[in-house]
Amino acid sequence: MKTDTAQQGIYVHIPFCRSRCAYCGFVSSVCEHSDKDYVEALVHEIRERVSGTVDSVYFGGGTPSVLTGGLLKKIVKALRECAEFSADCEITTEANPDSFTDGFAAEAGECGVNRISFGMQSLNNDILAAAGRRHTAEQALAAVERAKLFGFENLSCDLMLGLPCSSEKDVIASVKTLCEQDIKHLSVYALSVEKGTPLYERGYKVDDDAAADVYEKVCLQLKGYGFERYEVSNFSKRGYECKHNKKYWTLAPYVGLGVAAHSYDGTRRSFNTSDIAGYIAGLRDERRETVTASDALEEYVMLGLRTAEGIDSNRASELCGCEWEQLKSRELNELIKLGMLERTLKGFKLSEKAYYVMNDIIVRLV
Amino acid sequence: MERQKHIRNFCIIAHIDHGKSTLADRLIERTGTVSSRELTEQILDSMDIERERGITIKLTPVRMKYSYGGEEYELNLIDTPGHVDFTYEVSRSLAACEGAVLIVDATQGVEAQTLANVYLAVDNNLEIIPVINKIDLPSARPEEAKKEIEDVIGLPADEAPLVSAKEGLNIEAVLDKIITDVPPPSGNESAPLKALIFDSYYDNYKGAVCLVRVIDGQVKSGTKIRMMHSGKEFDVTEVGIFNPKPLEWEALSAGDVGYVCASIKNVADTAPGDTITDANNPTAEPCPGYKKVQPVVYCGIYSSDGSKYNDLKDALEKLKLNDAALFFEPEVSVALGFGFRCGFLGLLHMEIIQERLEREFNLDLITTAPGVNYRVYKTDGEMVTVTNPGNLPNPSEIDRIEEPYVKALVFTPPEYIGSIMELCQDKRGTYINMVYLDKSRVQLEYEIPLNEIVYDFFDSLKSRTRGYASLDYEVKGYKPEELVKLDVLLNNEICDALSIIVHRDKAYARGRSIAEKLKEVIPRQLFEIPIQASIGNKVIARETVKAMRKDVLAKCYGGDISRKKKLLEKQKEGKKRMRQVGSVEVPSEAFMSVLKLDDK
Repeated sequence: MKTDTAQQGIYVHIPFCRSRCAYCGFVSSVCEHSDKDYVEALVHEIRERVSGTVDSVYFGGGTPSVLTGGLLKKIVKALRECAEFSADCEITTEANPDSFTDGFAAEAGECGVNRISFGMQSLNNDILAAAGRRHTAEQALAAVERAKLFGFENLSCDLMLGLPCSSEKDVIASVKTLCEQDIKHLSVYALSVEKGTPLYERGYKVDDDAAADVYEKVCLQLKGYGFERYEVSNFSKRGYECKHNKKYWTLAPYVGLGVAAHSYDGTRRSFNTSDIAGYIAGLRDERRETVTASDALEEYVMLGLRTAEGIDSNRASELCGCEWEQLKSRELNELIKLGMLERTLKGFKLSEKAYYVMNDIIVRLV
Repeated sequence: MERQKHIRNFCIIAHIDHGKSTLADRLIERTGTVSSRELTEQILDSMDIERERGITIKLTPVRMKYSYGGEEYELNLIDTPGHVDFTYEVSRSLAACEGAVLIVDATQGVEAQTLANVYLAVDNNLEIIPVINKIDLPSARPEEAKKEIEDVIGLPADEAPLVSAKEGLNIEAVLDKIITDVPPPSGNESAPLKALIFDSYYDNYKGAVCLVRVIDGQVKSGTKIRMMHSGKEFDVTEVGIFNPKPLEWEALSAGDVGYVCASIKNVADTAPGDTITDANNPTAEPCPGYKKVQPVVYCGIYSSDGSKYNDLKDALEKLKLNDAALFFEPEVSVALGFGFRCGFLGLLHMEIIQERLEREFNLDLITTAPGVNYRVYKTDGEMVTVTNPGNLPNPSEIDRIEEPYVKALVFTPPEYIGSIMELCQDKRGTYINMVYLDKSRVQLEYEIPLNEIVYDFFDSLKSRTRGYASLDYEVKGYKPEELVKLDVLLNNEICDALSIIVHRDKAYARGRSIAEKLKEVIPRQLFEIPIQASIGNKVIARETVKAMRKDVLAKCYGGDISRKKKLLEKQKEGKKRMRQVGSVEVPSEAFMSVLKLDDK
């Protein structure tokens, strides 16, 4: 199925990791020998599914930085053959500090990658070790240096709240160090311990109150460094918001390529198989679901409230086919009274104190 | 008269677990009433709940044939419920018999409930045949059990058959004893019809079916009958016996046990204890001992899914068809919406009804704390009865409140006397008497408010005595007490479904433990929730559920929106199980959790 919607995003999933992190429940594989076959299969899928204009490409994982020796190039080449990249196309790759080598940096640069997102999680070596990360804080900072050396300027880092052994002090220190490296974008995620992950097996539980405290502190700290929170977990210098991720929150279409990748074409979501061997052998869609009008409204509210912009009542009304504000007037008024929602020119956004308890608010509004 | 000489009507009296149902099964098996192929364990317990709990609630009579001394006899076994809630039903069943087999567990001896039922049997002039059961167990002490029967009950027990119902040992000895010791019925077959209803059940095709013991005269299809207490008249459509399944029979005559159908639509018209007579040729006097059954314990029952009110109503109506003792009327709670105030014979009856509603009708219930029937005397002289704390008049209008109290008999090994006395004291009990039944058993008698019994007395008694003590009680009357209404406020609003009526001296402790319990079960929400217990305007306990700090989904991995949606769906489902009380969401369990508080 070819998609022709203007200005679409492309997500490419690279499922390989050199080891598995203690909190990870994601589809990835620690075996390395089938890289080549996997990329072969990806190229096939690209030829089947990609066309039109693309304004964002995102390599996620897993660990895309394990793709070396021309593999990344091969994928990008196939993409460029099938679709036209807009002039301002954002091309991001996630990278792990330990595998972000000169070789990978050079190849990424040649492919036109213009944004690197480092999975750092912390800059404290004890915490990194407890989380099963392969890299040290020193390696992480070296990777940032290397990226700059290779001419990458739009750099993002991921940090995680609530990891074992972590404290408010560590997180604040990590944020400080990264800001001093002039990174442009920071994602701060709260750890959720999922079934089947090593942390879950160990019986680890996050102290939610402590995580919420740290989150509030980090928000203030980042404001001081000139970052804006444009989504609950995402902070950037002005103009450096991640174009690709914003597509998810605004229900823009995107094509997900690779094993376990998700796609959305504006009316339908589809899901690739999560079996790597099967994918290499040519299996594709595992299931599809049509996004009904009520689903679309639900998704719009759920995702829109994550952003600083909030939700537009007109768009909500379009999606539900009636006056949305009227439909939800009791809930909206109650939430405003509780100080959880604020009116904007176009609709509503979460108030400062509501960001970290948004699930309960979303559930009331959908 | 000749025919009646070959009839024996008897019942079995036993404490729970002493083997009543098992012995009944063996008697049925040994007399060949049911072929061994058809024999499932405990035939007479027909409800699932009865089998699972190993207790008998509903009575099912059975007719057996047995030869003794070359002559054939007809034995009618009338099973009796072995629980304090059903004392009146037991007394009616006993009134239908001439004899009772008293089972005593060779390892445990006589228990409170057994003794209470033995007294009932003695009151009904029954011949009592002691039987020592479970002699197969290594811990059996048959000689001590016999001595206890003689000392405690005052019955000669040296000839008591030693049996093992489980192993089928010595069952004939019991049958022989029934023939030789239980007197035959001595009614007058040619006198006007007089039949005692000892139970009834509802049949979809036949209507209400009366289980009867014919005292005098005869009843058959076509007889025009009158219920002597209700005065209602019906035409008999069918009579029969239990074999143990219902079997149509030509007629039931003096001495017989069987059933009578007369297109009766309502089991309330077949009240146990009522007397059936011939409308055209009535007997002079009804059978003695009739009582109108009154509920003793009340609670509110609501469907946890508010939209299922009608399903709940249908279910209660269906149960009521078969259970005239069940009482219910609609009530409205601010917190729980539309539901019913239900009245029961006791705590077990209440549990059984709740369990049947959930199991047989697939309903999720919210029940409020069980309470009793209070008599409230107002300053203007009017007396109102209150079963729902929400209906208590304004304190300024109340002159006094009277509460029901019971005579409670506790049987216990002596080492627990201190602990039990402490418990009874704590439950506002008044000491009446203490008797050493023998060196290993003591009978304690107290007067205790029923309110305290329905709260957690039984559980506390069991836990303090490691299960060794047994309890029997009967409601004696009403006494004025210092009773107050304890309210619970959630976020400063009264939650009516949590209000209880409690003694003033107990209010502080109860209020504190309810607030603590609620703090555990009410999840954190967007704002801080004060939980307060109060009497009138005076707050006596306070807890706080802190505001929720973190409730947010982690990142969208590669645009995995549907996973997020599923998590939110789950959260939404969870919310559906909550009751909105003012601005606070309260989980259904919260209403139940305050019922069972720890015995601290």
